Amino acid sequence: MLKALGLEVVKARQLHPVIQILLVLIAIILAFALSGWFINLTGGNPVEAFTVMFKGAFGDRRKILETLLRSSPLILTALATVITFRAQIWSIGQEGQLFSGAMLAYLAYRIFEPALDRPVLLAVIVIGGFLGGALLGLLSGWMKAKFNVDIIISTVLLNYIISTMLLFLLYDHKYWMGKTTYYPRTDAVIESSWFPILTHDTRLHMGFLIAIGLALVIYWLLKRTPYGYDIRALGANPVATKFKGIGISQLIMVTMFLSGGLAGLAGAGEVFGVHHNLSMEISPGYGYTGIIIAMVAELNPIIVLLVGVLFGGLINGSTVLIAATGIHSSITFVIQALILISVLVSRSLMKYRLRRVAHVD
Amino acid sequence: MWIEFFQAAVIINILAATIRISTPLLLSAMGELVAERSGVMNLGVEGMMIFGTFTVWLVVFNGGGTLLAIAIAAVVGAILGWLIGWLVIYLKMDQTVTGLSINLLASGFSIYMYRAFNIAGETVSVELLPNISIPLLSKIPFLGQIFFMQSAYTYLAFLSVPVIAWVLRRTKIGLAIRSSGENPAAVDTRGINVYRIRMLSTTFGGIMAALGGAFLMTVVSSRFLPDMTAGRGWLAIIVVIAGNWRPARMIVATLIFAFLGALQLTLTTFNIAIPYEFLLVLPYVLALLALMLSRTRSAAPAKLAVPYSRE
Repeated sequence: MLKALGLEVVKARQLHPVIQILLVLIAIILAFALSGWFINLTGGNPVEAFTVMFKGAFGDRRKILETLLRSSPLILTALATVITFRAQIWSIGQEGQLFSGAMLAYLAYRIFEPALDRPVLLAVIVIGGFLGGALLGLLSGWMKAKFNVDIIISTVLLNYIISTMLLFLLYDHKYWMGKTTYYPRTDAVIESSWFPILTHDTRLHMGFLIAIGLALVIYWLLKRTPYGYDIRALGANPVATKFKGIGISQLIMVTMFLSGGLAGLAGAGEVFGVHHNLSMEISPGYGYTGIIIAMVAELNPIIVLLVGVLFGGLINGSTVLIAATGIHSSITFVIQALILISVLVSRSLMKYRLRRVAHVD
Repeated sequence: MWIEFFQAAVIINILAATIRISTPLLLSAMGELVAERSGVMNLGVEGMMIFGTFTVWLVVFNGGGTLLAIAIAAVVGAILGWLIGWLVIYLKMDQTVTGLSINLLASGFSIYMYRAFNIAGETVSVELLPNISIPLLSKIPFLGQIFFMQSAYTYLAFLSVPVIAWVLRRTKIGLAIRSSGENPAAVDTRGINVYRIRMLSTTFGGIMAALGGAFLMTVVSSRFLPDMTAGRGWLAIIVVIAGNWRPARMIVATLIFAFLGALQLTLTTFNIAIPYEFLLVLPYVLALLALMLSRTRSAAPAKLAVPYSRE
């Protein structure tokens, strides 16, 4: 088809970074345009919808702080994705690890709450959250290292298993179901276990600072430490890494442990910082959104912060959609997926360009 | 209560349900087998199945019949398979990431569509396909009720296994598909277009997965729910691995998963002291164990998930 037009596809030279960023922005705008068309098809007004969402996300100071609150778990699950995907370990267990982190944090709370002071209790909860996710991640890593079970498949299965187990605990008064409720959720946790809030008039809590701090730590870890070098080496060329004498099994297990821990912290933050009880509602797919954010941010921990806030805004802005426009907030899932696909396609297209077929006489 | 359970009628019921539940798994897994044999690791099976379910729902919602809905679901599956193929074969996008994006897109679409129509208060129920009793065979005691009183869909799914096995093993196109997964450069030197073979295989995989999804809406349940495939697409991928890329073993793996599903369906109607949630995760736990124990991946295509470039 192209040949008829006198064109052919060839490898492109490296594009200038500014042009690359522009192309990614165009891809994102295209994703919004597609979503808008889809909203239109289902009987909504896209311009109105996007305006409402933008105002709901960044309209005033309180809304911006609420957006930052929403972005905290997203940044953490995105960082969890960054370290695994950098090593070409395809973990998509962030959602399950978020829940298992929340579960272990909550369990630690139930055990230690009567005995400990606030600072120690908070520390125990944070450690519990980290370990809850980390151990689940380690389980997948171990199954890969010892039994060669694909990470992507074990993590998917564990996502289903963990969330079903949580439902089991939440649907029974004998276990975690609240005494005063018939919804599948726990009783509220006591106030001394709540994550400290950062500003007196919003819900923004210390989890946001943890997320930012960890983004910097991961950046440093990947860039400046031998561990980070090994991860990048494994991602770039697994065979060569093996010959360099780096213990791949160990590297996979450590990476999955850390990655799971990051996602687990997100879960603890949602329980003790936002909802103040444990239910399935602590995550509307934050684990999966984290994967999208990490991919859009090109697996760069610093850009993750920026993209994380944008996606936090998308989710925060969508909460007012239904009341203002009648469009259900789940449209964000469509927008997110379209952004991912269109950014990925634009990045792939950057590798090629069209040129006129050269005529050799 | 266990005595009630061990009755011929109940056991026949479970086994018949096993065959029925196998259908979507088998269809998707056979489609995935063909794609993987050609060298494309398509992880978007779950998403393509979801698209299959809600295509059926949308067609029926707009006044179409069940058969038309299945046909359109197959077309949607073909488009998706073709799209995934184009992205990973021509654009050489990472196969894992591409598959995941399709899953996320499907999940998002299905949740939004469900909400959008539920807000409007409009519900629709699909007219289910009837079971067809095969003359004579369905009269065989026990076996007849288990195997020969299923929907046409199920017969076709089981029929597809020997057909696909035969095509892969004995035909020219089958040889080209298998060679594209083992040694694409050699296929190329024979003058066969590897890209085209892989595109064809991936598109076929898309059709089969969407048909698998459509089964859920046309035989099992007449009501649509978002993400109603509930991980069946992933189980299909596991069936291919656990079956070591061999159709006969894949049937065995499928039947085991389906049996656990059937067991769960039946046990929950009895007053048995195993929590419902435990029964629900049983297939997934078993899948993990099966993957840990099945260490032989001898029959995996050599160039699985490796993009091919014609230089």
